[in-house]
Amino acid sequence: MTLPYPPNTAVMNLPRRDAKDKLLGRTRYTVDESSHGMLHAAARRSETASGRIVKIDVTPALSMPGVKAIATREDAPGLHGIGIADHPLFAKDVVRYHGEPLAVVAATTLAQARAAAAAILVEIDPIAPILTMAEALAKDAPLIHPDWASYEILREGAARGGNIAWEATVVRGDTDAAFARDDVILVEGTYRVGRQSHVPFEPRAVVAAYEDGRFHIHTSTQVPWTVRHVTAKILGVPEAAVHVTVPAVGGGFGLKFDCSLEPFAAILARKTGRKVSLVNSRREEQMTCLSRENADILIRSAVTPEGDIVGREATVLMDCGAYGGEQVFLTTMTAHTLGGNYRLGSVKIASQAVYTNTPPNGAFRACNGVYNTFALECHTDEICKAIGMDPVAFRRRNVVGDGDIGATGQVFEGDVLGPMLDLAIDTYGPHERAKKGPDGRLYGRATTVGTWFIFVGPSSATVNLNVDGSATLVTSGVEIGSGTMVQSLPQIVAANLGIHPDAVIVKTADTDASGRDLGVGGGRTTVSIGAASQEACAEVRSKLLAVASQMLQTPQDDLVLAQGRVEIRDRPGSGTTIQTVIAQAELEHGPISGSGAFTAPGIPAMPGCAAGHFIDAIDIPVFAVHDCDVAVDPDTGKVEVLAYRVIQDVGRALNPRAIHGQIQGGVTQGIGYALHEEITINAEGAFDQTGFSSYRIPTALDTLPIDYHLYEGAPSCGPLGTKGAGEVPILNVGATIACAVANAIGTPVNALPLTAPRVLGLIDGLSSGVDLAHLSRHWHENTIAFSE
Amino acid sequence: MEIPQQSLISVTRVSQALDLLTRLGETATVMAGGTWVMREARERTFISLAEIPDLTDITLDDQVLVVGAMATHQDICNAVIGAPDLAALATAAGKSATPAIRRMATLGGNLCTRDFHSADLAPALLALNAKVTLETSSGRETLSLEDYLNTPVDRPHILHHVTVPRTSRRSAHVRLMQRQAGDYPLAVVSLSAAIHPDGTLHDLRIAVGSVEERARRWHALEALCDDQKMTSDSIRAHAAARASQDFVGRDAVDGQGWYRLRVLPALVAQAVSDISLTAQGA
Amino acid sequence: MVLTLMINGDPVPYHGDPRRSLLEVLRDDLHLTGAKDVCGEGFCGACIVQIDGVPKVSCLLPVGRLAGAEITTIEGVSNSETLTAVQKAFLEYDVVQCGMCFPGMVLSMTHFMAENPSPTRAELKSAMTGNICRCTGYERIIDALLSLGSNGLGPVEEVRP
Ligand SMILES: Cc1cc2nc3c(=O)[nH]c(=O)nc-3n(C[C@H](O)[C@H](O)[C@H](O)COP(=O)(O)OP(=O)(O)OC[C@H]3O[C@@H](n4cnc5c(N)ncnc54)[C@H](O)[C@@H]3O)c2cc1C
Ligand code: FES
Ligand code: FES
Repeated sequence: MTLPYPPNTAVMNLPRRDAKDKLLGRTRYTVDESSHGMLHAAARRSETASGRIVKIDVTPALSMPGVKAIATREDAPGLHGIGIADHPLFAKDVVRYHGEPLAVVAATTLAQARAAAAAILVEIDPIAPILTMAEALAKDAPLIHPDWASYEILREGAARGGNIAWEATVVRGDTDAAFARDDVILVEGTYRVGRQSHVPFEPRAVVAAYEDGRFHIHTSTQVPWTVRHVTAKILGVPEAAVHVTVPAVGGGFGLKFDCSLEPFAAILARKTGRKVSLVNSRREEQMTCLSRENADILIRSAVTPEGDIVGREATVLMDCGAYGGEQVFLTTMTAHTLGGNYRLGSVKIASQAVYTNTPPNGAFRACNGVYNTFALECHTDEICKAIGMDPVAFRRRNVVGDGDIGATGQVFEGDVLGPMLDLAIDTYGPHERAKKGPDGRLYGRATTVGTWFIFVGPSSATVNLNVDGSATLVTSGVEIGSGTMVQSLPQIVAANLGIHPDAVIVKTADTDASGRDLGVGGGRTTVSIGAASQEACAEVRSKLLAVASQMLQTPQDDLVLAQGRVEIRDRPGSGTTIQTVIAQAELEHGPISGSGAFTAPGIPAMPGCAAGHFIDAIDIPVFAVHDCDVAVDPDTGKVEVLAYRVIQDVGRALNPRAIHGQIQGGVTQGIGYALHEEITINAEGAFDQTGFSSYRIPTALDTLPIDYHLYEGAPSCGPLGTKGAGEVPILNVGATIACAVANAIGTPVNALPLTAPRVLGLIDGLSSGVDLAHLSRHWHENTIAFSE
Repeated sequence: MEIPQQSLISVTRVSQALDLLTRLGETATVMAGGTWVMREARERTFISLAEIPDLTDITLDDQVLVVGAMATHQDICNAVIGAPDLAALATAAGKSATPAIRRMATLGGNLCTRDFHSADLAPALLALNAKVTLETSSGRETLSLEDYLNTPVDRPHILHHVTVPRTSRRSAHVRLMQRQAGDYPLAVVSLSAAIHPDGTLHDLRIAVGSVEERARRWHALEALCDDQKMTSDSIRAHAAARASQDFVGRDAVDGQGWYRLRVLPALVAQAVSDISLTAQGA
Repeated sequence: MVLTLMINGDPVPYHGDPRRSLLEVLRDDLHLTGAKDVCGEGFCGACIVQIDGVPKVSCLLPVGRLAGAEITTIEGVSNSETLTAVQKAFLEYDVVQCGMCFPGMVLSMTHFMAENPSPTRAELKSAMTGNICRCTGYERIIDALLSLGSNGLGPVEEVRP
């Protein structure tokens, strides 16, 4: 589509309009909601990771002071989930993880609610919990979901069974033949990553009311329409009976990409007829965080001495915890994050979501991508060592380019990664040998590549042109902190309508006012909502210009919208103000508005390659090249990142300064993931890290100014050629730091996070490595679909 | 004295605090800066020391440093910064925790919280040979900090002040965290030594914190260094040989025992080289 | 316990458990929700207020100890017409993201800048260690503060490397 306006009119460093109130402490997040008569709720959660529920007796709690209602499993019998409906709201007959909700209490004060929740009599017969994927996949392992076969299937086509909630596979070409060639070198790598907790500063929180037979859910979410759908499903009410509104969200990072506390509050609101607030305590938020999942990864490659990857087989086990959740969907991504970087002669990939008796996992910024990139790039460096090839040269030779095919056989468009790699080396210089510095520390560097994608899918937008010449943009977009709703979207609308972005009013998400939307995540907002907004603007323009054309006696094609005016092309001052045209339009037709919609264009994959996938091919790939220098202290194992550089494929940068903010923040989160943020699960099946004192997120001293280059011009179907820029900055941070550390210490790295003790273990040669004995080196034996 | 029916009682004299502690027993706790009790002991009655005059006093002269129990980390850092013999204390008080916590947490809280294993002031003051003065119902007693830390005083008591002799020695405090800030230290080494005109270190006092439940002196290592010309390399070798004999590393969520022991030699060596550097500078 | 708190210049009577944290009282009783309850244990700084002009974490301050103290919350440092220099710099440099850490960040750094008018980058970072931010990665906040220093650059258009 040709743009009706010069694209650079949409490009600017528009400051955020919500910053002032945030700086003044006036912004009211969901956790700040309060009103007269509002009740407070608290949950009673299981302190057993696995067991049969013998008794849940709420009678003593019900008569405690201030208690208004208690909800339990009887109030929400249904199951929900992604792909498969395996998840009850409250534990039903069995508990499957430490922290699983058993009951919620609404009371006049929070203290009363907590006291009553604690007074509920709970008796659980413990069953030995399965805490690791290795245990879950062991022969004769007890089933965490014995009824798995009877669950409602929400999406067909995946192999499932035993403790494997979902399996996605890719088979393209003949890897057996490739591995059997006598000219290839076989390289095998095993990798393991732990969980990462989002720690949004605003925990999951909701205020629910039941008014006029409908639920009003005011909540801290990234996905208002998912909340609407899931709440209705769980409560067994029509979706139309659920109304979701979302104020400013105090951080999400993917954690709030799912329905969470909302149905509990909704049930209590209906029971009491009062507003009910339910907010996770920090401890609950940590202990039940839908974390970035821990994963076990095996990659085997057959590589020629010249450096061609003729065959690759990979198995990725993703711990979904007690219920399938996001991981079911995320099994899809491995094909692209592990299989979409390099040209592969033949490839087999299995990606499985595995049940364990641990808290369910979820989505986290560049989900699945960060650890697959870590594993793949460590493996790539090990290949280079094995065949004696320079790591940058190897990557330059093999990265996907124009016309190359990805794992599932999709054809990539444009040379992007190659030139980005060249730019990195031209800008930052060739690699030098790793060395020991005069300070005794070990210095290393690495350059890595990564493939991510924009999670497109349905969005809608309405634009109302107001008599004062302002426009109101109505979407279900949520401002989670990334700035999209206050920067790129008003910039796009303003450029389309020839007005200033400040004259674009952005309605906060409200499912009663706006059309359906997949939610804010996957880097999709600028692209999907942006495209829908652009289409809505096109309708507004054509209505406006039709009237103006009559008024100015000029064909529509010769009219331009700029600075709040309709002008005759190349004759500034010749036209009239938009307000005048709107007034005329009202007389003739009524107020002007437009609506627009967008959905995934649907890039084809090679038929028959992929099974069990939610997306067979990626509509908008996003590429990243990262480069860093580290120094490792051999006495303590502490890693210092000395320089960090990002070359990011952004399509077109609408607000470069805002993208810089995302890069600085995303890389810093990645540094946390790479070095400090560790979750360990104890024998009770609970996280050891219950709050800020033990879960280590980076402080100001743990990061550095990130050098960055925004790579523009790669193909994208996004509006003005944009791609989302907020998610991808974290993609290769774990990979780059790990490769640089391996380079510095001269020992392969195969696990994250690289905490100081872990690095010291590697240096001392104490680390036993990651053997992944539960995975077969015969790829098909790891699968359900292909095992004989 | 009648016991006020309140959950936070501000006393103005130490004797009142002792009286209340004796009567209320386990149901009460002394509150100094509050940064521990507000996290750990909210159901108990707080006996606040904040209104007792003089407890925040710090006096520093050529002979002695006296620090009142209610002096905060920030107060201590401000008072001793630049004093070469007290460098370990300046670092411990000025670099631990976060700026806001340093304005709240006190000397008394740092030394008297027996459940807190990573205190920074404790090893620093051990290396500086500090004495503590306690108030108990049977009167005032002064004992070495080392004795105070080693042998729990079970009777109700208030730590009143700490006394540190001034010397021409040098000291250093090295703390290891996983991040650059915001963690409790995983291991701490505080060291003080006499420096001879030829630059060699003598008469070392070495204290180790956070490795075990309580900070303590590393006498075995000190003995090995006695009357030897110590360099950071030689002391590192001694420390490496002794660490696992002399300490049992504490396993906790923030770090495992083996790691705390493994890094000790490097921390000791770092402390020695820090001291040598300041000595050259001076 | 009955006492009077001085909050942003106004006397506010308090009747209740003196061990409750100032943070709870501000947020739950007085609906002053600018201070955020994030970690509840002193590490994050989102709840920071100034007590007699000095930043402290309100989650660990029992109200019973605050009679007679001047308590300044984010609501009391400015109004929208008169932003402080620190707030202005944060606005101009477009450093805010989700915003949850900023009330504490503003109160900490305003105090620090007043005491250290020409800080170095390293000094600013050390001063910020008790104000954790999960979104921004800090450095652009530091850039904004450096612009205020007497050797600061002054507000500049962002220069891209
Ligand atoms: C975020 C954070 C980070 C921290 N980091 C560090 C760090 O890196 N290094 C470090 O050393 N500390 C650190 N601390 C401080 C430490 O954890 C304790 O909180 C602090 O030392 C307690 O001091 P307080 O004055 O607040 O004690 P309070 O909480 O008031 O009291 C704690 C205990 O000490 C007893 N007590 C206090 N004063 C006396 C007295 N005069 N006589 C008898 N008993 C007394 C009380 O009975 C009580 O049991 C940190 C604290 C926080 C919150
Ligand atoms: S909430 Fe007080 S410091 Fe985090
Ligand atoms: S802006 Fe979100 S925590 Fe700082």
